[in-house]
Amino acid sequence: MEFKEYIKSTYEKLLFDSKINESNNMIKLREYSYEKYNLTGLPSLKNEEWKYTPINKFLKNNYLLQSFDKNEIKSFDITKFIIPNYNSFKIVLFNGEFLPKYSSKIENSKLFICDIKKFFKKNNTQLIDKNKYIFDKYFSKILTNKNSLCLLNNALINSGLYICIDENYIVEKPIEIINFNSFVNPEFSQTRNLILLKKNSKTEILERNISLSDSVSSVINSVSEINLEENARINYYKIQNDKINSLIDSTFINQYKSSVSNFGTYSLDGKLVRNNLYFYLSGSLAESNLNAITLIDKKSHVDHYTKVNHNISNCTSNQLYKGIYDGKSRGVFNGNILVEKNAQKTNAFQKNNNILLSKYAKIDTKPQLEIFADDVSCSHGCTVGQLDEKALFYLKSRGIPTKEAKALLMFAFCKDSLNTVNNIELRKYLLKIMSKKINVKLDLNEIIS
Amino acid sequence: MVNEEKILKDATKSDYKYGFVSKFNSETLEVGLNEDIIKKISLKKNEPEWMLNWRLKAYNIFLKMNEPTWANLSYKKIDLQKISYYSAPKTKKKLNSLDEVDPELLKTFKKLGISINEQKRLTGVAMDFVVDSVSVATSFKDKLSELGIIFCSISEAIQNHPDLVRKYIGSVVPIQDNYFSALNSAVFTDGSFCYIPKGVKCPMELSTYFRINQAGTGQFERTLLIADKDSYVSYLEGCTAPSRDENQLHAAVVELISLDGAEIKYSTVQNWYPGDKNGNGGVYNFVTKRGICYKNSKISWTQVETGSSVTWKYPSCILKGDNSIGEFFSVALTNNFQQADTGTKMIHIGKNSKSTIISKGISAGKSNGSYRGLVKIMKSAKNSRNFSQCDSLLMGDKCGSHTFPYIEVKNKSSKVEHEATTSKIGEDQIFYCNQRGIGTEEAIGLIVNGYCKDVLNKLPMEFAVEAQKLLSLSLEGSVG
Repeated sequence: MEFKEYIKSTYEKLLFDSKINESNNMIKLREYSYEKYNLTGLPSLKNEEWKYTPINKFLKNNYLLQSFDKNEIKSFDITKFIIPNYNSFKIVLFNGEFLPKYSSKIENSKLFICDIKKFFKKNNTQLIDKNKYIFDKYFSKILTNKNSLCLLNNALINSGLYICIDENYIVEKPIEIINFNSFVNPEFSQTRNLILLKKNSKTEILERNISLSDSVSSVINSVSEINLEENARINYYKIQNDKINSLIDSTFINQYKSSVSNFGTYSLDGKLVRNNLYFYLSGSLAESNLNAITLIDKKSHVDHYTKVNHNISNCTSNQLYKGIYDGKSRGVFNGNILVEKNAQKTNAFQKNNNILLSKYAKIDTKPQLEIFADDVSCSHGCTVGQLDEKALFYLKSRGIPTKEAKALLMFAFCKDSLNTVNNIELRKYLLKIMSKKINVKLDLNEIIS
Repeated sequence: MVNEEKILKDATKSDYKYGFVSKFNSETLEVGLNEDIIKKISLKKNEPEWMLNWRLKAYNIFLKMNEPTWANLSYKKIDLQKISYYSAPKTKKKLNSLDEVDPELLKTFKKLGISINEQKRLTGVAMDFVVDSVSVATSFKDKLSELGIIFCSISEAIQNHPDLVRKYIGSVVPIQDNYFSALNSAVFTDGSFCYIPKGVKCPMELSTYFRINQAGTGQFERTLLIADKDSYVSYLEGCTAPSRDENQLHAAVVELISLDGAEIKYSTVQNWYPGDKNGNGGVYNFVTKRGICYKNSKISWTQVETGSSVTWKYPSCILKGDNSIGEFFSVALTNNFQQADTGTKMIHIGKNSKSTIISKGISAGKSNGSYRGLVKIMKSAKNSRNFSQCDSLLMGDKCGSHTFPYIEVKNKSSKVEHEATTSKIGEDQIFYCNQRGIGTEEAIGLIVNGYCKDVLNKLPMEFAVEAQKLLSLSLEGSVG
């Protein structure tokens, strides 16, 4: 069966179940999204936004869309995967399914976390009305219809998380979302998160994907929506170092007045990693900071797509993307800043620096500006180069072996992006996995300070 | 602030100076595009069979292609069946000297500010004039031929130098390259041809002046410029058209071939009719320009784009040879309802190849200007180097400015840098000038001129003056 028809039959099966169990809104959303999706299908290379990432090459026909009988969750040892000294609320997902049993107990009425599927159900009494209203107001409201993978996700969602932080509440510990994946057959899975930060709230979220299987490689199509109300602040970090699975991650962030979001994407491994970040600055004085480090080798393919929409005046956005490419890896950066007519006094900056270490590595970058307002200060810069021979010689002449000298230069190159990670333990952990990746042992404290 | 707005408004109000129509008799073919028309054009030009076959081949390829829609432009679709593909000022006999040129035609040139005789005496620039579809006059031919330089219309070249034309035409811009190049290949009516022999440095600037005169016609010219080993040439191109309510199509192809060690400097001042203040009429300018550089050679594109209601133009360099150099300097000014999507492509294939891109966009009124560029470093292009800088200046809050750079690097020993900024004329800059007794109007002129200086400096003397005049015309009242 063709993949297209397979998607259709899975969708029909799902819709049949949906009509029995789910609310009218949800059924409508699934139907509408599938119809829209069907107009374009999966993005091809002819789509400007997917010009350098052949998604069809990664999505072969043998992917299952939904394992209806979920792989039995064996008891597994989570301690193996925790980050040392990183004190957090752990939210454990297994193939996208929320597992309260393994997660940290949260006894706090101001922090509400639950399985997103609960919201889809008909006549759900489990949820208080307040949350239900929020769901109608925020769910799937800031997605773009141009991204067909998001539409597919809408049509086929079957797992995910809902996180809501109450007004004036500062979450005392970071929230760590660990998604363990273990599929029996290669799967094209669809997960979905909705995060809501109410007025004056603040939190840090870390997201990791870990695959437990070492042979079955799946593709995860994950979509997240984040809403920041007035004065809300979020630090959101993603560590992407899953060797086995491919990841297509689309995150939509809507920011109201004076809210601040700091986003860190750290892509260190994976067959295919595609990050779509859509920022909507809809309240004045909002600020978005996007940082990323890409450090890959072998045949990894990492594609960063960012779209920052300045819809209103007096907002600021900063993008700092650093990439180091070795082996036969391929990097893509496709950044887009859009400043609307009434978004005067906008400050928008974008920087993309890349280092190619091997003659087989490739980089394609496309930093774009679309500006309709005149009183703005916008710039973008982009470079592609190598490690500085002279600096390397300087270090070597002082007795530092080539490998370590190169590593030092690489860390120096990434430092300004790395320093945006506020949590020192997380920063240490990042450095640790980065040095493991380039196979060096360095005194971390010296680099961090 | 109010004052500033007023000045901007005044500045963006000026009229198009070259909008007159000349009344000489012309011969125009019936409208429509089909094989018969192509055969008629070919017959009129008395072309050899290979040329006709090449045209027909192009036409068949063209039929299979679709108009591109990827550019950041919106315009009424062009009905290709409503255009006449051939229009020529009627001449009774072959001209022996410029004195025999139709007086009306001479008047036209005078109005354009380029009296042929004056040009001849004062500046020593050799010119080729193309009105509507055909080349009407070429000056300095004899002097150039003493050096072995061939400078004539492409129709003449097809007759007199078929080997050269046959060898190089379509070698840089193949027929199937894009929709407009295929169309041009099928119906091109004239254009300039230039060949510089080995080791010759062309002693004067070569220049072509394009003019659309007849209503309901499109202009499709083709320029072929070959610089043989170690030669040098500087080539200028200028264009104007009458003011009309209809949209006229201009789809040209320019091919440059820079053989080992040669250098070509190609400058354009494009001033087609931009349409009126309400966005009616104006020329659609869809141009394919590309050059190929062999070993140690250099191609330098300089353009000042002030005209056309729609501009779609990407002068490019294929840096095929080792140590070759490509340069692109551009000022694109859009006003009222003009739209420009312009930029360049630098394809690095040879070792140590270098390229520089400097692009300055100025958007005023309700216009939109885009820079779209590609820098591609192939695996073979070791130690290649690129530097790009694209700046945009916005005047008024109803215009837009966009940047779409593409950078593709497949080589670890090359260095690529790109930077872009968008800003408006700073209030502090104007204040600084005011403080020193310079009026706001003059200050804007000063700032705009300074902003474009990097590019204007690259133009040959005579052109730089014209370009500056043009900038001041387009932003009248502010630039002195």
